[in-house]
Amino acid sequence: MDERLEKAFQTANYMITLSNQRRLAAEELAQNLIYYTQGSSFTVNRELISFVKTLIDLNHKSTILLDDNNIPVEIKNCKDFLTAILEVYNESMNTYLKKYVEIKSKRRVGDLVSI
Amino acid sequence: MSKGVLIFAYNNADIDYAKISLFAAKRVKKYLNVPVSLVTDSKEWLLKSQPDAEHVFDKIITEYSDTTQKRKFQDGSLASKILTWKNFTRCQSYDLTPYDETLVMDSDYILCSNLLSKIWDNKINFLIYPGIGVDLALWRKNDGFEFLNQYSIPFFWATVFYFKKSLEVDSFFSILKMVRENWDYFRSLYNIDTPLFRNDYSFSIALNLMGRHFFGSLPGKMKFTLDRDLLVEIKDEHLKFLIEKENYAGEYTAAKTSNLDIHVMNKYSLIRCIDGLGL
Repeated sequence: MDERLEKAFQTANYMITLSNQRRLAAEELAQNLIYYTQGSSFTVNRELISFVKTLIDLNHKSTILLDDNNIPVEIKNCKDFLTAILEVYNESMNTYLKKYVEIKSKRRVGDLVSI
Repeated sequence: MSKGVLIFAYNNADIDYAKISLFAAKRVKKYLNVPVSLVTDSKEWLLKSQPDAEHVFDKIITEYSDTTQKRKFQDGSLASKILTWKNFTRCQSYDLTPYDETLVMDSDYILCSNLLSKIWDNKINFLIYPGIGVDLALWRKNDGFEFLNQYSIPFFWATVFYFKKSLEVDSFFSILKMVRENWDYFRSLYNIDTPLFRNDYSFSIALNLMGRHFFGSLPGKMKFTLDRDLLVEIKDEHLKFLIEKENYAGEYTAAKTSNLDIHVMNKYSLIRCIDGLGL
């Protein structure tokens, strides 16, 4: 095979693997962002964080939130809940950033799958 | 309330499900830290071939499955075998489980995280993964994992599900048994084009009959590789795969997952990895 063409195929292979590894890292992030409390699960996102922060700013001590299965859950202490979900968010994002940077720095298929 | 995992293992002429289930059970203990029970028709073989099974499993329940249905088992995109597929007893999970709260898992569902460790004491009595999920192959279109067919009802994975013993869950399993016993009728009714009895289909039908408010979704999404892909390495919570390429049978691209629970459908490559043989 022509050397240039062979290199082009290698690059194509690398690009497929790169896309897949980025997608899998995003899936890992999505999984890490799940927070459990009182037999319910919440996906932690900016909307949830902002909403709970707004409630606290408006002096609401407790509230009712819908979990990922649309079940109402009484949150007795909004401040504790916010602290917990912020911790989940920051920890997950830090792990994701680290992984993303690592993936980006790899230039060969073999290196991509040894992270 | 007692809590535990239930795994089913029915060997056929070529695939040692008992071995796979022992491997899966060890990972359940590692990541979920709950007792594991096994339902099998090969207790004697399991204890003879894997002596440590006695200490790993909380209970080994013998239940025979009288089916002769066969299906194709792929080992990568080029090799395959037609083998017996014994999958009838999943509908009896409610009667067979020794626990009040049970997580039922396929033996080829490989845990790599503690994601499912917090589902206990759930507000909902039945949790399952809805269709689609995440296929490790980017290019594959898995319409069959979204709806049973284009005119039919949503698809659900019977690979892993959680239930708490209750009146409505008991009713669900009764309906499930009725679907199994009248499979030809239900597969015609729901336009299912294969005569094979498949738990994913029967669960989807029974869930459709129970209504949307009966069940909830398990956390995250079902992640899977088909039996046309190859698992090549298991190292703690990291799995390495060769994923089949589009339009190039026998060619693969590499993929690695970390901390993700994966349904590995290629049992041959899974057994090779358990035996430490890799490719």
